Amino acid sequence: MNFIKYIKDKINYILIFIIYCMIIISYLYAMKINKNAIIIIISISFIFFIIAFLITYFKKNYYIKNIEKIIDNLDEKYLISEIMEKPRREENLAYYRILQRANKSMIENVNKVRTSQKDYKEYIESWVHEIKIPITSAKLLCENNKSEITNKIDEEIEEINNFVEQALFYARLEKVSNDFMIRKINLGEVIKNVLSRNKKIMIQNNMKVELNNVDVMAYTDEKWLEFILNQIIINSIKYKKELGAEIFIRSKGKCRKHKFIY
Amino acid sequence: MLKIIIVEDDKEIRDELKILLQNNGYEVIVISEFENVVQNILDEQAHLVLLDVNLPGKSGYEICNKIRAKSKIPIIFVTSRNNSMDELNGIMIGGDDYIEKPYNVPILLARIQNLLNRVYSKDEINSKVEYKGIIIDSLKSTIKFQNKEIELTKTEIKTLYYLFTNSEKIIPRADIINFLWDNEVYADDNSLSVIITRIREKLKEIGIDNLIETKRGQGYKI
Repeated sequence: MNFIKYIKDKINYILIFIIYCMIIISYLYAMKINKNAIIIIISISFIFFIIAFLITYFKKNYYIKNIEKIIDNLDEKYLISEIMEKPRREENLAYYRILQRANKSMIENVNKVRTSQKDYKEYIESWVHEIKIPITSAKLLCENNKSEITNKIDEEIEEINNFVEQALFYARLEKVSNDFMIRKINLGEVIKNVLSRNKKIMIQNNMKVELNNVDVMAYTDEKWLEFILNQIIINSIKYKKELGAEIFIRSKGKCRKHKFIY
Repeated sequence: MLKIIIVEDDKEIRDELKILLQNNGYEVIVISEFENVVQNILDEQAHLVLLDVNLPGKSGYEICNKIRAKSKIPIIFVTSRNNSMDELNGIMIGGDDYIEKPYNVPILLARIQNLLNRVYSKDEINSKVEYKGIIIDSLKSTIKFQNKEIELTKTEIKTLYYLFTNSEKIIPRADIINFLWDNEVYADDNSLSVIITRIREKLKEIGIDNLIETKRGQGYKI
């Protein structure tokens, strides 16, 4: 709390005190009281006034700073009224009750949105699960009935599949930590998968591939790695310049840390 | 012949998967009624089970558990849910592998092959393919004809293997390139011509002329 501004706020008190002082001085003077006595009387009043003023200021300031510290450390700041101590002073209680009502409304809203989002994410999971079935069927049909047309259809279906995976990725983005399972896997296998998935477009675009030292084991989550790798390859195909495109995949092992370089 | 059981809910996928596996030399049993699925599987005495995790009214994991109580038959879990919980459960329940839909066909076939190789004796591996007296030995990476043998590179062997397994028909260049890509050879149109030329040279060295016919605009035929 800014002291200068606080003084400005309490200007009424100060003015009334000054008026009081002036009245007292006038009366005492009229009563022919000794000038020194008057000065002493006024000084004492003045000192007590200052002390009271300062104590009030520091107490209030201290109280406010404490609450500020609590809210600074709070992640969900709209829970402040639940966390802070209920004030004992009537004046503070009045503000506290207002704060409480505001916070309560906020909490209700936040919960509503969270539940709604959770429901939607669950819907997406279930939707992805369902849509993978016709995608799988279509791909198998193309595989079992190879022709120029089915090859093209297979490409389109692969693209649909990619978008479905993206949708799933975004739906799970916030709770990736739940979905991570780190195992020892062969990087070469994952790369082989991804290149195989995209082979048709890559061949069409005359892309060259060079693999270097990728037949190594690494600790990671296989499906997220495959997903990201797939996205990278797809983007590189989409945004390549017209002339020859080449893809280099190298792995670099450093004691316990494996860096994957594209 | 190796027997595979498919336990899958969706009819379309079931049928197509059966065709796919049959085309790749497996005998396939399909289970469409899930009332006594565990018993049915145990009765069939197959070599491998492809088990869908999401069956109506039954848990794929439960089924696996019950099978495991009586048999060590290799089980590959199949799912479209792709999340880690499923994967973890699958492994802990005793499944041997875990594949997600939609199937990447070459990967699916390779994993089935690997699992079968691991579990059953090596007698079932066929590393030699023959056509018109020419034998491809993939282990030694050579071809043999009437006592003459010559070494080929891995790429050449793979290409020739593909031609052999599609003999008597015109094979489009694109198909060969696709096959190579699935087998970690990232060739393009030009390099394919080079590969074919080299193969022809080597064939000539062991006395074979005109095995590979070029059909202009269409592909190759042997």
